[in-house]
Amino acid sequence: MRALDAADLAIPVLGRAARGATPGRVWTMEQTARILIVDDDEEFARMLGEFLGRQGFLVSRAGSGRAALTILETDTPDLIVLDIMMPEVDGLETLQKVRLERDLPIIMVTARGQARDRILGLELGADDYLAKPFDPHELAARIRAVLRRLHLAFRPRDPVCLGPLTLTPAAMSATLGGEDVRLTPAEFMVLEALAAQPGVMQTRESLTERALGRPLTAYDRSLDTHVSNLRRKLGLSSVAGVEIRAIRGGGYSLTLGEARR
Amino acid sequence: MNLFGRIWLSYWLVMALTLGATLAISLALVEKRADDAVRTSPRAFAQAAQTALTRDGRDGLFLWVMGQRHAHPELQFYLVDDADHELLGRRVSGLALAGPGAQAPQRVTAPGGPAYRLLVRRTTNFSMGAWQLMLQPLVLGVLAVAISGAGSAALAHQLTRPVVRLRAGVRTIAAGDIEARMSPAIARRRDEVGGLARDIDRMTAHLRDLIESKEDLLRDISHELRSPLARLRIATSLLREERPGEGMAAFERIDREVERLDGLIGQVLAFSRVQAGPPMALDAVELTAVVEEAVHDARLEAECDGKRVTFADATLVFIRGDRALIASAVENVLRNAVRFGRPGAAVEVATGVVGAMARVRIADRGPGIPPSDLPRIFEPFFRTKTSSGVGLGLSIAERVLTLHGGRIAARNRAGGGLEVELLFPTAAGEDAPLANFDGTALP
Repeated sequence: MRALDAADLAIPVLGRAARGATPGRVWTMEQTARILIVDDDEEFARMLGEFLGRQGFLVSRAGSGRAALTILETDTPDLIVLDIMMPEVDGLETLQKVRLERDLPIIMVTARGQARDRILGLELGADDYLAKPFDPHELAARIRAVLRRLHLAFRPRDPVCLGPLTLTPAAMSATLGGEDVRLTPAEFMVLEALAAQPGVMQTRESLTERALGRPLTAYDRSLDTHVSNLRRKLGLSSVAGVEIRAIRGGGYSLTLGEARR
Repeated sequence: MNLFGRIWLSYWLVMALTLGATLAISLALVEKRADDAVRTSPRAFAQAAQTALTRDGRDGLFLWVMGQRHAHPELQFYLVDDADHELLGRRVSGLALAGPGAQAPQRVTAPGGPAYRLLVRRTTNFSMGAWQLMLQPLVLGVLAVAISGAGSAALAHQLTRPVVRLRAGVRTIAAGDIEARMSPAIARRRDEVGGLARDIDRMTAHLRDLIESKEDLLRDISHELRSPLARLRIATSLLREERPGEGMAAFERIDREVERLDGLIGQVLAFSRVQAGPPMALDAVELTAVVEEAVHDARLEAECDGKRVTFADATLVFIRGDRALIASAVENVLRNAVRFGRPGAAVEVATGVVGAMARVRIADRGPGIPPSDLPRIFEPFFRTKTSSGVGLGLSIAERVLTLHGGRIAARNRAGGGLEVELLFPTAAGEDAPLANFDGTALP
């Protein structure tokens, strides 16, 4: 099957209808998190399920994208571990279909080893990305990070107002000059972390910890992918003056109100 | 000389010669006819005039003169009666009835009627004079050259324009845009150029398929090789959990080897990608930023081993090429330096500009390379007696540099260690064809 183009894939994300609606069930620290593993490599999924089970997660499995979508019609796990390379409905397509309906946290995994998959996956709204083969402890840590982040996100907090930019954590929604900016949960968290200290340079390390809930590792470009998506989305707005600047030495800062024209 | 110039000049030459020769021959013919008429037939004209006068009187003669004026525009006919009145009422006082080109007047008489003197001479009045001026050989020559020059230029332009546009399309493809197609205006043409455009489109479509299927194959290979590794990694993790504390060293060894195999698979695939000389993006890339990113990642890696990476950054330097490939070249050399560098000693990274080249210098304090082996370290899977193999990293870097028209060199440092120098042509010093290609000004 021919890989989807970024252009084909970009539209559904921007047009995601269910933004702002809270998922049916919000994971809390006290509950056992339910994980759905979607992978056509049965043996891998079985062992990974066993491992995650020992780590204290409640695991179910689906052998294909189609099976996953069927399961999701009746059930809502707390997080999906989604393989990209699957026959028929592949991971990116599944991600797209799931994202059309709800804000389920999703971690993509792939053995294809291409930067493009990571960029596409994160752009489509995946919360994180791991390349196979990975240390399963690392996956467990990332699952916890994503869940913890979401848990924190749903704690009631006051909206943040910064010039034309308004962030509403309860709904994970952002508006710029009154216009809705459609963000994935991960993008929202990155923007919120940047907005916490406007005009101040924050290192990639601290931003990764704050927004993605895990430490930065070498050759980890997740944060940069989120930032470049954010820049694009903020740049689409007719309101100028909100900019994310890259700072030499490896950091970003959110700058406001400086007239560019 | 270009195609336009050649077609233009050759057509111009042929047309100018043809036009000149034709005009010269016609001119000669006209001259000859006028001369013949004047020299050989005044008597015949007089006889004809006489006949007309005899038959129809003065009106007949009038009609005859008008007819002759029409038939012989190069000649003038004057009929003057004894009272010096010209038949058509023209002034004749200043008229030389004898002179160059004029004959002694013939007499035209009718029985019992008026008598006329007939003067036939070459035209000298103004309008005919202008026509004669036009017929001067020099003026004719200039005219022929000017008209044929403009005509040939138009023709040459007409013939070469589709080729010029075809060339623009081909250059787009050559610059790496494999999705580009010939402009429809050309591809629709029914002539040879249109056929060529369609053939080029077919060829690029075929290339596109080949490249795509190769990419698909590489993805499949990656998937097939890494999936067992992924299972292996999980299986060992499970086993480890089941037997806590047992065989720690062995498990760690397995994890390390899995990581190594994974890295090797990545390198083999990356090498295969650059080996075929993939269609390259030709973006303006800020080299220092790319190096800075690589240094950042290398630091995260080096810290675990107690190693340091220093970075002396330079001003912005732009090069032209594929950012991902350039990053992989820098990254591969840098990872190698960190791997072989002595703990405690710093790996030094610096960027700068040397002439028309942008330079990245990466120097470690590792064991270095025996001088005899230095020329071979960019060969795939090269290994020395003293060190384990460096895999494909340096080969990938070398290939990337070659693709970008740059070069890579390695030498041992005074005081121990290896220094690798990557030289990329700067955007300002690049070849003219690439610079002209899209016309964008480089920052």
